[in-house]
Amino acid sequence: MHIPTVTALLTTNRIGRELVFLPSTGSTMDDVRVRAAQSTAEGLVIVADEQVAGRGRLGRTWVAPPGVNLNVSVLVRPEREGMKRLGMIAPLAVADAVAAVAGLDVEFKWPNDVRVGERKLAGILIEGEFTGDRPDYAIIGIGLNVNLDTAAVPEIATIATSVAQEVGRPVSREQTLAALLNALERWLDDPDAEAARTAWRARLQTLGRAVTVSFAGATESGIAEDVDGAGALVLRRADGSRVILPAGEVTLRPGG
Amino acid sequence: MAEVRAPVGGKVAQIHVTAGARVAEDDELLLMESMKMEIPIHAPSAGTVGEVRVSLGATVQPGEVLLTLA
Repeated sequence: MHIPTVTALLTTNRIGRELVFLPSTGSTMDDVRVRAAQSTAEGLVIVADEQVAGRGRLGRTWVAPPGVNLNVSVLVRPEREGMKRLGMIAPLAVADAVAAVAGLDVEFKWPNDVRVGERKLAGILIEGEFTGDRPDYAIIGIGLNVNLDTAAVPEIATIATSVAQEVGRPVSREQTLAALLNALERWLDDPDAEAARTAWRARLQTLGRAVTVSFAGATESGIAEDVDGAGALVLRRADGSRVILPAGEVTLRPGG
Repeated sequence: MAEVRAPVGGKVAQIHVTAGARVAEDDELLLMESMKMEIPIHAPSAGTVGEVRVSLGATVQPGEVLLTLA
């Protein structure tokens, strides 16, 4: 990855102004975490061509061959209300970036996937750090399949896609990263607190569908009816009662 | 005795310690999920875990005591 190309395309004040490229690392999340403890600045971005211990949600592995995708982690320090929006603005920034660079239209699967149809284009992991009840910082991790040939990775060939695969041509990772960081800062600084939720909700393919949501071995089933201000899923059960689910794993039910 | 509290409301996704476990300052004790975010809960100081007051998958309120540390 050619970092000067990325920097030249940035329109941000903070996000990506400190931009570190690593040919190979364990996990960019861990790399940002180490530096977050050493400085109070916001906007550090670490991007790696290869992660040998890339993480998804709940410690799952994130698989990607080197040099074709974006594996990026961003350090942000929002206030408490801003923390609530991170899980919405991160996928929105991905959506804006792939629209700008490749004209690709995406949807979201609650809670954190960016998809084209039923195939995953990007995964997002956000880690929030608090001291007592005070937000300290958050790390936004994004794994975006840019030029991945999913057929070359059998374990994800049928469930993943990439920008290049969708638009039928290779796409510049540098342009995509710059567009992503520009969009991220735009959403972070948006003074309209409701704008992110409205835009995020509009792309949520999960809404209106019959789903089962599992968390730590327990499940709830119903119709995914809405999302609340913190992004929690509002599920309407078969008996008409509603339950608010702040976290969980969604599977679609037959006919959903 | 220190009480380790939930910084926000959410769900308990992982519990890494049991009563009697010795922990160092900043060790991750448990993991919460909330606001589409993972929130690791760290030990505010070194000590021994007294009582784990929440169970895996539990929904907790902001400020609720998750565990005690002696």
